Order: sequence, then C-alpha cells, then structure tokens
Amino acid sequence: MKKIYAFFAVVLVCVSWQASAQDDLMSQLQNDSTAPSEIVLATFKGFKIVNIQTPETVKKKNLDFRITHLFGNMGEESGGGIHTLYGFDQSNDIRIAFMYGITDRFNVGFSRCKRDENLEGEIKYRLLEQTLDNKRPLSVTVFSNMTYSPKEDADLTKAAYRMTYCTQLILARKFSDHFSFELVPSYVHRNLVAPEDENGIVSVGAGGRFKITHSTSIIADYVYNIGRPELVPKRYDPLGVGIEIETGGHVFSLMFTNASGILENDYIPNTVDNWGDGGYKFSFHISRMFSFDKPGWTKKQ
Amino acid sequence: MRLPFILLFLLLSLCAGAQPIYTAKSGEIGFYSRAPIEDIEAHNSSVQALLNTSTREMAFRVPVRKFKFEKALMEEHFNEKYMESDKFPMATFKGSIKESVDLTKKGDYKVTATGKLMIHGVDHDITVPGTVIVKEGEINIESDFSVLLKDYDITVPQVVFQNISEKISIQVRLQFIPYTK
Repeated sequence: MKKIYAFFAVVLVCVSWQASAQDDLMSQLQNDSTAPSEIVLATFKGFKIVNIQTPETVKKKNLDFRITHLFGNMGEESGGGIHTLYGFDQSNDIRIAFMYGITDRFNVGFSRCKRDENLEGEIKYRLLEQTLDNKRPLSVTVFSNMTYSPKEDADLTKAAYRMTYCTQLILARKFSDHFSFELVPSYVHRNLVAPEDENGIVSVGAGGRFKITHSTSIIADYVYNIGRPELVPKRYDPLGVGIEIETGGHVFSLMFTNASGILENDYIPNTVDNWGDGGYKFSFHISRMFSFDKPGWTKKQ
Repeated sequence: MRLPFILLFLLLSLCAGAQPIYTAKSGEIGFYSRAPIEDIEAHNSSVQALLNTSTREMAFRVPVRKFKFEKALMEEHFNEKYMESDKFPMATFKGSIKESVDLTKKGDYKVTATGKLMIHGVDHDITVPGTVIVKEGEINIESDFSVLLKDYDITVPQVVFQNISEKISIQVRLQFIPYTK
C-alpha cells in the first residue's frame, strides 16, 4: 500500500509542477531574472552647478564644446549699474573649453580663459557611481587640473611661476528625482603667490539642485575657504545661484555668482567681489555635444 | 506491483516531453521615431520572453535601460526624462495569440496577439499583428506595430515636439527555444 501512496504523491507533484509551469508566464519571467544594480543617472544636469564641478562626465567618444561667459558686476557699488547695463558691457572671464570622453567615466579636457590667459588641462574620473538599490549610496569623482598662464609679466621669470593646480573629490548623491546634493573638498596650489598669501588652499564646496517643475530647477553652490590669511583686497567665498531650464536636448543655465573667474584655480583663491556690495555677475554658457560613437546597427531610412 | 512503476516512468517522461514553454534566446526589440527634425531609433537585445505553445500565451519583459541609442545623451534623456526608468525599469507585455493555431506544427502563421502592454507604468490594451514561424526546436516571432506616447502618459515638451514623434513604431524580432530550468 505504501508504494501506491508514494506513486500518487509523485503523480501529484508531477501534475502540480506542470500546472505551475503553465500558471503565470509573467511571474515565471520575474523569478528567472536577476536585476543588476542599476547606476543612478543624471545626478546633475551639467558638468558644473554654478561654480563647482559635478560628478557628470562626457560620455564615451563624445566631445563637449563649451563657451562660458562671466559678465561684470551688476551692482552699482561694484562698478555695475545702468552705465554698464548691469555688467553686460563687461566680460570678467570667458572660457572656451573642450572635454572628451575616453570612456563614460574618464574625461580629458582642454580650455583657455580670458583671465591670466590661462591654458588649462583637466581630467575627471568617476571612481564610484551611486546605484539605485543604494548598495553604493553616493558617487565619488576625482577632478584634477593644471593651468599655465602665458601672459606677459616681468615677475614671471620661471615657467613654474605660471602654473597652478587643483585637485578635488566630488561626493554626490541624488536623493530623489527632485533633489541632488554634493560636497567637494578641494586643494588648490599656486606656485607663485604674494608674500602674505599661502601657496596651498584647502576648501570645501557644497552645492545642490532642486527641481521645481518638470523642466526647471534651482541650482546653488558655495565654496568655503579654510584658514585663508587676511589679504588686500579682501577675498570672499564664492556663492552661486541659478535657474536651470531643460529643453530636451539642451540645458540652459542662467546663473549669478560673485566668483571672479570661471576656473577653480582662479575663483577659489581670487574672488574679491562680494554679494553684499553688488558684486554679483551674470553667467551662462553655450555648448554643443559632438558624438563620434558609431551605433551598433545600420540606420534604417 | 510493477504496473505503478511503469505508469510512473511513462508519466515522468510525459512531463519532460510535454514541456510547452519556449523562451527567447536571441533577437531584439527596436523602436523608431520619425519626426521632422530627426529620426531616432533604439535597440534592445536584453528582452526576456516566454511563450506557451499549448495555451498560446506569452509574456515579455523589456529592461528599459537596455535600449541602446545612437547618441549617449539621447539614451540618458530617454531614461531620465521620458521613460523614468528608475521608477519604471521594465516594459512588459502579457497576452496571447487570438487564433487557434497549432504552434507545435512547423509552418508560418499570420496571427494577432492581444493583451496588456505596460510602458512607463501605464497599462494599455493592444491588439497587434505578427508572424509566428515554427521550425524544428525553434520558434521565431516577428511583429511590427506602433504605439502612441499619450497612451502611456509620456509627455514631450513643446520645444522638442519637432524632434520626437507622437507615434513610435516598434519592431519585434525574437527567436525562441524550448525552456529548460
């Protein structure tokens, strides 16, 4: 009798197995697939918030061409006002830059700035990327650059005097669709400084993006200089605020900042304008992304 | 007492032999948007799908992130802005073939599939034409149809209206083989 029971038991298992196999294809599919940890996309929309770097990189085989414009001070106390059309008649700094994606995570770039005629070489590398499942709750990116100023100046007797360096760690997290935040500890080194100044500067930047409508965000950042000596003229910490408008392909940023330059090596040590005295400037950039990546298929016409 | 064992053996072999489930082994789903300013296309070869040849039911799961675009920026916008793939990582189709064709016999069958297509978290009933090609140990499914963005609550800003079509053509080309656990 036991054998009969065993037989029916096996029959039952067999039948139920076959029934379950036919039961729900969708749940079977779900059981079969293991979801990989997906990377969080677009923590920020641009490569910079206002002044400070973001973890965003140019994608592989893409070239970003960008012209950033930093106008003059808007407030009358700082040389702005109606007679300069609130700073629009002046251009404090202009940066023409190329950034190329060697891989999705590793970028190299070159730029030229109006201020000090700085020529800049830069690299950016995403060490870690934030994942959706929070196994990695934040992204870690390294930014480093070097500048060379070819300007005519009798004091610059050695090539080394013309160079500055900046290295930053960008710690960023996208908290939600609406809010991203980052902290940027950084070190700027200038080979030649005034006697009362120091060559190395440690600073911490903080910045965020807050989405207010489907395509509009408020952006802001601030850099706090740690232990800067008192200098003449007085140096201020750069604070930038702006509005970011997405239009599908393009992101327009309308920004206001008291930063005196566009490069980290410049605005971190050299910002002499102050929001309180009308020392804020309008800034924007135009950019174009060129893709050299070939799709893995032939396009159907 | 031998009889139960013989029956058991027969039943087990029946269980194994009667496995009517096929799984997508290779192939892709592509989509095409034709708009005045630009044509956009994307391809996804990470489609998971099952087909039951006896009930003619089918299930598809398409990981949205796996659509590959010509331009990396398009891909990011597609995921981040339009499909919101962080929130809705999968597009799915659950349905069946309407006609009572015998998918165990070799041949080409013009069929219509009907069921629920879920994109961007929105379910929509669709009925689409397709071809099922049954070969030895392999089934091919081909289907071309189109979907409207508004059916799936996907909004395109006015500024890029000229770049993205309201109607997206979808092309399915998948090869199925018998499913083994």
